[in-house]
Amino acid sequence: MDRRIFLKASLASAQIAVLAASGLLAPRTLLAQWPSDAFHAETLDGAMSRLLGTVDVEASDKIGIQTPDPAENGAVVPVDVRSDIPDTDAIYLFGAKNPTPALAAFELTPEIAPDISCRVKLGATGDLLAVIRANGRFYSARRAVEVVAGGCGA
Amino acid sequence: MAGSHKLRVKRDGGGAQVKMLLRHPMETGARKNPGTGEPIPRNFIQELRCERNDKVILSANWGWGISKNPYLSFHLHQAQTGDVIRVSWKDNLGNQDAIETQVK
Repeated sequence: MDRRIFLKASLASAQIAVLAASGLLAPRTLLAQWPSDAFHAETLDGAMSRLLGTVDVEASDKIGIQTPDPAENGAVVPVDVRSDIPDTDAIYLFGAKNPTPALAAFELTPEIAPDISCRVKLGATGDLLAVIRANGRFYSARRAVEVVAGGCGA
Repeated sequence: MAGSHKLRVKRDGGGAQVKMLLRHPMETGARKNPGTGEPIPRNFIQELRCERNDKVILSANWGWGISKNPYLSFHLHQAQTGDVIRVSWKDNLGNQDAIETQVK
C-alpha cells in the first residue's frame, strides 16, 4: 500500500476509534435526528409508528405512570414514568387526545435509572401513553388522565 | 435568558437525583397574541442532552407538548464529588443554551 494512503487510512481509523471511545458513535447514546414526521403526526398510531419505527408494542404491567388525578391544568401535567423491565433504554410519551400526540422521546444509558419525571401538555381528558424500549422490543402502559382545563393552547 | 435556568444535583446514597427547570416558552404555534390577535410562532426545545464528565447519560427529542419552562428529573446510579453534570439543548429556531453544575 502507498505509504501516504496508508497513513491517511490509519489516521481516519484512529479518529473513529476516539469517537467511538468517547461515546459519540455509540447508538445507545446518540438519538436519531429530530423526527419531524413523528412529532407532526396527527393520530396516535401515526405518531407511534413514526417515532418507534413499528406498531408492534406489547402492553406491560411493569411500567408505572404517575400523574395527578384529575389534572387541574392541562398545560402543566406532571408525569413520572418508571420501568421495571430489565435493560430499558428508551422512554416515549404520547398524549392520545392531543392534536399531535407525540410528546417526547428519551434515550437512557445504563448510568441512570429507567425513571423519568417531566411535565407535559394534555389537550383533553384521555390516555397518556408510555412506551419503553428494552432489548429492541417495545412495551406500553396507559393511564387515563382527567383534564379539567385543556392545555393545548398553552 | 441564561442564568435563569436551574440545575440541581442532590446526593442520594451512592447516586444522585438530577433536577432541572429550563426557561423556555415552549410555544405550540396554536396560541395568538391576546393584544394583536397575531399567531405566536411555534418555538420549542427539540433536542436535549445531559452529560456527566462529558459522557452522555441521557438524551431527548421533544415536541411542543412539553410544558412551558420544562422540568426534568432523573436518578444517576452513581455520583462522585466533583462530577460535572451538564445539560445542553437546542430549539427549533436554532437557539442553543446550556447549564452545568458540580456534584458536591
